[in-house]
Amino acid sequence: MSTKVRSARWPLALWIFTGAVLTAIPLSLVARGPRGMPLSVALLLLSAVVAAIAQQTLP
Amino acid sequence: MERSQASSSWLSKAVVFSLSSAVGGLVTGVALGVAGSLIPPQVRTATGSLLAIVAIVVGGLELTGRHLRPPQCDRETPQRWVHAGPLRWALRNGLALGCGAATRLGFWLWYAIPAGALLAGRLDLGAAIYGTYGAARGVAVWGIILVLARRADSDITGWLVGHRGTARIVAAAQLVLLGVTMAIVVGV
Repeated sequence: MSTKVRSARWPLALWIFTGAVLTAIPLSLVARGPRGMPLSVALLLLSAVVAAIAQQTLP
Repeated sequence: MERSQASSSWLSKAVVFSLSSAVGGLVTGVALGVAGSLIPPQVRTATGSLLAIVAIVVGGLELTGRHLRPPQCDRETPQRWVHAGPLRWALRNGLALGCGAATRLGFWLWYAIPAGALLAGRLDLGAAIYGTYGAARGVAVWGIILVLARRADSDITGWLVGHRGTARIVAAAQLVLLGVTMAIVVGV
């Protein structure tokens, strides 16, 4: 059962990881420009929102 | 009449909870931002590089189904606060959850918030990062209220708890994305 669940997660995990890398590299290069909010800060703000929402699922 | 009073009481508690949660996050973020400004930039950069790698590894492990339990207090806010009155309970609860450190964390992604606020090394950035977390945690209660207002018989808590697995994947993906970006930005 756990093996099935784990194998089912692999494609999703790989897809998310690849997507994260492919998104982060060009965006971070753009974010090094002098204008606008640094991508790192924008991602930290997004992380704060994601963490707060995810914590709503805690018992 | 009674229903109107009960609704008003809930709304008051929700407003106080949301505001105090945002303030709790904001104050914690300011403190971390100020503390971070005292740390030399080289040390902050080196620590950021290290934490970026940790974020990628931990997030990657979580994505592949290996759940690592984050270090945490793993407790709810004290039950005795309920006896202090509804508004005081909402105030204390909001402050505690807006900071979050002494409550159940559940997700590794939470650690990105204090780490980011500290390593940003600036009061305004610390306040923005942690304040966003506190505000988002405080605002989330309104989503629950809206659902309950539409369908009073809905088991929103059960639905949320049932989606913890999805939340874990999303939080892990966000942690990996953050780690990769930080690694590139700080130049690992």
